[in-house]
Amino acid sequence: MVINEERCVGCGLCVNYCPAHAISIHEKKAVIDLDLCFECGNCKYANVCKKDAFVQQTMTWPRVIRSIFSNVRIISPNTNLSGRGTEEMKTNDVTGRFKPGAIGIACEMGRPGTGTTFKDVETIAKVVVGHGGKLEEKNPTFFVFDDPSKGTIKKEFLNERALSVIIEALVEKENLIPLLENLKEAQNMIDTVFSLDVISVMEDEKIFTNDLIEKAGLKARPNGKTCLGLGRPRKEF
Amino acid sequence: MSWSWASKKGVLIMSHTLHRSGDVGSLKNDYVILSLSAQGLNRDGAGPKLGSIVQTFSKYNPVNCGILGSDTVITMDLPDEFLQGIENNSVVHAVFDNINDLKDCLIDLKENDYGMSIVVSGLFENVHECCKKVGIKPHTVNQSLGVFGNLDRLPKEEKVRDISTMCGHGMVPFLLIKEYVEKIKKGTITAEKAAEKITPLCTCKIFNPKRAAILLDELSKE
Repeated sequence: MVINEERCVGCGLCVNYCPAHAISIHEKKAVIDLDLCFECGNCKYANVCKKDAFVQQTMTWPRVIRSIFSNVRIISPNTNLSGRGTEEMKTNDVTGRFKPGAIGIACEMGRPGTGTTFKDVETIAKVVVGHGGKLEEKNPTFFVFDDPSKGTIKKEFLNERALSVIIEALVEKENLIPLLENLKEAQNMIDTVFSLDVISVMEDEKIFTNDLIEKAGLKARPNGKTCLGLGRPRKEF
Repeated sequence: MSWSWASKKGVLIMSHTLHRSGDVGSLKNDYVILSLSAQGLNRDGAGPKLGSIVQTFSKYNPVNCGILGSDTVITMDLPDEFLQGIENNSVVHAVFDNINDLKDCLIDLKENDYGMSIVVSGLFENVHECCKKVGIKPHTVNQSLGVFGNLDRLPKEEKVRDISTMCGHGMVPFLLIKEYVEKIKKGTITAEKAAEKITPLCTCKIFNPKRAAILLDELSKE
């Protein structure tokens, strides 16, 4: 995003709408630090600017990757979907993507509200695949990997930034505890935050992953997401 | 009426309703429900069903309700043309501020059996108990293990995070929340009005303005 200086009156109303802290006021004009900017478009679409001074510039490669992962209105090239995720467990009653006993994991890099470099994404992705995590191909993030079996990211993206990038993978049950333990260590190697998800099919109306999570020295939050099983045709296992 | 879709090509989906932070007392007033079709399996002809589902959501006093990408908050007064605009790949959402409204909504959805996947985010104990009362057997869960990494990058005030995480796409910045807290302290805006201003930033309509107003008020008194 850039500023049309002729329109900008330097009122500063937009500054706090930027999750990247990229907007500042200099000499009575708003200035966007393009290195920090996630290209999420929040400044423009919030309609806070009374002078319509925000202009979406034409982005060149590889900068466009920022908007794919940050602007909720942009379509991802490999999924033809907007946003950073997939249907994941939301339609699992119909797709059977996660089978009974299977475990899905997601590291939502940069969330909440902080953003991430792709270098930090690579650091965590290497840990996930290092424990046998099979990266989800239908996730927009799959597109940025150079070698998904190693978790390495294409060099041109490493210094790019995005508001949120989801590393989504299937892991074997026996690998969950060591993976979670290693993620606890790896968190010290990055300069951002990530939110961690664990997905499973309920067994006898119980969440079987709770024991594994506790054995890894972690605790699941009391709230989360439940697919109710009302979708049809229901996937039978 | 003027409204526009975020995407005509695909749906915006991620775990955007997971990771809503807060204490149990506050989360008791925050339940998100959504519905969508599955690509390649039940997407054909899903649009009208999703329209009926979002209309059902709207009957049970949601504090927010709508379709991803549409600027309009759904109410029962919307004309049929609006609902006809719902596509097979649309994602419809609503937020309830109490478990009883969620329960009544689930009874209705179960009776009508639209065949679309329904997902509820909220306190597991309450949601699963509610499912039991309604006769629904929960299928799959997505658990949040919290936040890791350089936590110094986050605001110290947990309630700022509690408000921001009600937009899973991060469109409610920490700085903006703090700005409104200062304005509330100065008396230039009420907590309710501030929540009303913030709510539209979340285009998925999963932001809970009533909970936000309570948290903003509490922050302004800290």
